[in-house]
Amino acid sequence: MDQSSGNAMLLRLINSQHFSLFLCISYLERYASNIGIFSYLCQRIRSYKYDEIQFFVPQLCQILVTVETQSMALEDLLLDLSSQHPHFTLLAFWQLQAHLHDLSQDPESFGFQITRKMLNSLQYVIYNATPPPSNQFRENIAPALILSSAIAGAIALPQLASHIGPLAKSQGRKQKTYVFQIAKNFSDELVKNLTLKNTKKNSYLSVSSSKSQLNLNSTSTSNSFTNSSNPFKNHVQNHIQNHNNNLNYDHNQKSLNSPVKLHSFDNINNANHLNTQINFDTIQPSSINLKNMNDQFKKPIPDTPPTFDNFDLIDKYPNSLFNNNTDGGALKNKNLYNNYNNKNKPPSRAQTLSRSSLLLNCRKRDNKSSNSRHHGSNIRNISPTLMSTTTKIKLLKSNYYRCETQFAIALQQISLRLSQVPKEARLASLKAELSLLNKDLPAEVDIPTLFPPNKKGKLHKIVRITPNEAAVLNSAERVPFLLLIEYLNNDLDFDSSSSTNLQLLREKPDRTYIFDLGIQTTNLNSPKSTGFNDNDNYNDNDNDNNDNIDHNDTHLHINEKEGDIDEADLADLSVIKITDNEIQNERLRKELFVANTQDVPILDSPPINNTQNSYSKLVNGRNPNMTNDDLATHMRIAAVMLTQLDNPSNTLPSDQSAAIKAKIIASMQSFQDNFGLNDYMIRGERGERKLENDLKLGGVSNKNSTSYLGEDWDTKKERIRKESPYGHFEDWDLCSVIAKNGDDLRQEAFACQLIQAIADILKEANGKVWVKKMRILITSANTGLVETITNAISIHSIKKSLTGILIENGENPKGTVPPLTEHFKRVFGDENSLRYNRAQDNFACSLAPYSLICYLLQIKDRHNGNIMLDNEGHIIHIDFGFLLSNSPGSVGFEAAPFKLTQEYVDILGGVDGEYFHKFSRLMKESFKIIRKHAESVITMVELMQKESSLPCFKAGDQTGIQLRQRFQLHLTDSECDKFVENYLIQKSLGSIYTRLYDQFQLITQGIYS
Amino acid sequence: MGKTASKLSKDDISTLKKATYFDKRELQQWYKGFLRDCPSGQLSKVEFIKIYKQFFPFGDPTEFATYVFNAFDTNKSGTIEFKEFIIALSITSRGNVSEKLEWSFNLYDLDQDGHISFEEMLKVVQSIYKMIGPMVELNDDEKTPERRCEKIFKMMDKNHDAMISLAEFRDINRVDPSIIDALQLYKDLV
Repeated sequence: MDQSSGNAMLLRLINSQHFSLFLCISYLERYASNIGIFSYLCQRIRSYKYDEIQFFVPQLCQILVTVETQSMALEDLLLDLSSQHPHFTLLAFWQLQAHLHDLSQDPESFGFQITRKMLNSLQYVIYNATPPPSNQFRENIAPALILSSAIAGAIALPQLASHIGPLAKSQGRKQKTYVFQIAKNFSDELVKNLTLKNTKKNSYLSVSSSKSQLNLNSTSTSNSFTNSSNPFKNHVQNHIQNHNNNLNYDHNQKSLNSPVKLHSFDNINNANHLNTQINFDTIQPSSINLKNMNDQFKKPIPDTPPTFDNFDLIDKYPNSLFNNNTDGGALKNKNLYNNYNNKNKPPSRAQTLSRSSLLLNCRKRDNKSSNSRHHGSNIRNISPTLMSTTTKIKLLKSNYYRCETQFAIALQQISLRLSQVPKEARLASLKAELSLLNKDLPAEVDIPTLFPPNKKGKLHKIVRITPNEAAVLNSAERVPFLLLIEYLNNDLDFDSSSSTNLQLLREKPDRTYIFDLGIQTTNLNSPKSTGFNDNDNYNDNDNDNNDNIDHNDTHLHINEKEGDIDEADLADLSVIKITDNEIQNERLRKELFVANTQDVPILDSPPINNTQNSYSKLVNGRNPNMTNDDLATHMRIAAVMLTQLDNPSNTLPSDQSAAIKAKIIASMQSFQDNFGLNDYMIRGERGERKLENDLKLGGVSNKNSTSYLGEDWDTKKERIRKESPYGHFEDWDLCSVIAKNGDDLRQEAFACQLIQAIADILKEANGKVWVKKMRILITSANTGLVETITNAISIHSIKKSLTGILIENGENPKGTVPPLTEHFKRVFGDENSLRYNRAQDNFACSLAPYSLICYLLQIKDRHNGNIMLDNEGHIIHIDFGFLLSNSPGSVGFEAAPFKLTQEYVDILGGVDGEYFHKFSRLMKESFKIIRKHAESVITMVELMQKESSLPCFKAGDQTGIQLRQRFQLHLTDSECDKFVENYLIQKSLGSIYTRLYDQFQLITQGIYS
Repeated sequence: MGKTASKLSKDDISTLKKATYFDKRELQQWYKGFLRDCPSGQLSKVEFIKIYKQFFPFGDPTEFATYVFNAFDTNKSGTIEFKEFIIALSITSRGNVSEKLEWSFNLYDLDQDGHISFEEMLKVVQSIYKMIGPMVELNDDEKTPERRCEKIFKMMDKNHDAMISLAEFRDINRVDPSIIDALQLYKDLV
């Protein structure tokens, strides 16, 4: 009785108006052991506004992964939200992929299994060419008992059935893992069987090689680039592919005696291997019937319109096959593979090829596709008039997801390729890459969270990436780059009756990858032209093919296969040819390379007729009237060549290498001019880089007197709009984004989320406080997009450039660093002017919340490179590598509660100044406000610290405890004011530690203090 | 029936195949599931009530769970065995309406005398109200268990003898269409 009366109070609380979404989410963990309460909380979440829910995607995913429960309700909730909100789907998908990456070391764990399962389900939503997952009731005793008794009890009260029915049915769907072994055997058989089928199909299709299904042979430019670079690169690419798109489809490769061993996947094979077992674990042995399965091959799919062409059937049958025979989609993962490739090959093919070859090689872009490029779309070739509304919407959504996910991958791959290119050539390469990307734009791509919120039912649509504004940012190791993305606001929807969408559905489909993720056969004039055979990643244990030299003759020309789409599809594999031995290959590769390096970069040299000389062919055997595309292609070739030169396997004498390298770079730089670009590569210290980066990213000035601050955003935007072919659209807009690769952005994103949550609380109570909203999109464990802060520049850069200008003008003969007030005066005018005062006010209203946040969250590494000022005088903190429980370097630095330098005080007009008082008052008010919501903030941290590997949770459980202490929850309101005054402000004011840290940064890093 | 054997014996299967609508494979599957969820092969009343508390956290399901338990426990052994479970499941999921109603009758006929008295019905209705009370919107004519019971008797007790016989009980589906929907809870699922 105690329990139920306690729960009655809980019920009242949950239903009360004060029960916030965040509280609701945090209660999920608390009540995870009770199916009923957990499910009711999930139900309650649905009652909040979607935009609020989207903010908490990381928390929802975190709970899914770290909180063990018998309940199915959270999974159901995530899937429901995904089916309703495209952004939610993508955000959850990317978040969970990042989780899976973390968990891949521990594939037996609850977290790994649930993540994998959820990702598989999300794939249904994303690539939904398949029937929905089975909602069959499985052998779960508890829900079965409940449901049976509800039937009996319904006579007393029919509402009993409608009340408990949904929960019991949901729990009834729970999959338990207990048919492990048998299922694994089944998978062997399954694959064997499919292999047989494929072999048969392939053999009647194969053009010149009887071993067609084992052929690995790249057929065109971009393909050979990706393959012919060093193994490390492939490795990284594969890794990325794996983690971003195709989590499970590869499970029949290694563990099922695949003939091709994939040494490049060693680090993930472990996880994949286990995936296999897991994936089959729910197959019911008695349902395994190969004969049935074969029948399934012949059956048309029930809701497939009869007009679907062969291609589309191919597309579908593997899915239906698996669904019908594995008791609810144990093999769902294959769908991902199929759909991702768009070519949708039967899964067994995966076993004969490496993942990378599937992803990168199995793509043909025929000439027609270039005509439909305008839409960048991938919708299949079906007459839309014959499709049901549901099908149309499905296809439109599916197209959107495909474009979206491929866009993310394209950006990662560009970053990867750039990192292989010498610094001097990176900008040129980037512009080349972007010009290739632009070919597929406009496309159905939005960027969730970075672009502004959408109108209901609408999405934004990227139309162009301004090539001339792109920049490679200087960074110690990685190659982040800046993109200015042009998009049309709310220009995209899934309205199946709109003429745009109908056109999209009607258009001859590209059917393949977009954003240059695959092969471009269009660039090849001769059907016989061939890619560079570089198989060293794939065939280390396959001695089946000894004809590595004649590969030029065995490949298949895809364009000739146009008449039979099905066959063309299958034939993709036939062009891929494995040669027997790595060493031989490597030798061949080098020979070709040396032969080619002689003339590659020289665009106007005559073509060389060498059938084996793929590079020459690519580079020289073409029309002299080169388009931007051609240029771009050449740039990439050059980039790859450079990489090869740096490869340790390069056997050329070093002087020869150097000469070639110089030639290539010179050539690339000259190409760059063809794009109408300038190269502003920067060398030097960190501080130097910071300024340069700042000027690329930010800029606050449109006046000559402050031109040291770069071009302001509005001016830049107007300028770009005028130049853009899409600028005349009313809904045109521009977003400045940094694409990052190789860094885990999740801590940064979490910090921004926390800051945002605190800022929202403060703003709601006091409209005066100002905190910059920062947006980060996580696309995998180590990639993401960051929105740049426009109209702002770091204090470091302000000071550095200002110093330079003063010296130049002879106003600063000693070369001392000017104080910030100097900058304020230059930008805002006289100290007593209205503009100056407004800037002071803005400074105070932003400094107060940021100071409080820095104290509460212990945000460290607060040198001037990480603090910005905007064009209105607001202060903005960026870069959250150190917060909560981690801090840079040794103890002692930055011991002050937050950064409050004399300079800040001077801007505020001194400690007795009006604005300093305002600052101090706002701090006190804000502290009292945030303390009322301390539990929410603490819970948010506690939730995320669980099983987290983020550095900011280094202290583990202590992280949340220490945070709680900083809230000083034992203090009364008046004690609170004293605490802010005497402890926080006084201790921070002119702290020797703060000064020390700034000086340290100046001396060691060149960051201006 | 072997209580903890991991598979059903041939005899068990042939008995159960006759007693239920399940085939051999389904029986084995459910048996496996049963052993996984109740490894001892038996479900005690305490465990049974625990399950109910998981599904009805905001009320008190103890009483109702006890009545249901007794309805399942046809051999009155004090535990629910697989056979009892699978037969009940077979009826509720695949049985016809009259089979379902006949099985349900046991829940209400607490003293097993072949009739449901007003008191028996009231007890069961009360227990359901206790279990889901605050979670379900109720019409005025069923706001209290008493009113609901009166309504039930008005519908079912055709001969006005203050008792519901099995025959009268079976007729309910002709009187109250909402019950028909409820009887189809397992439709297309099992």
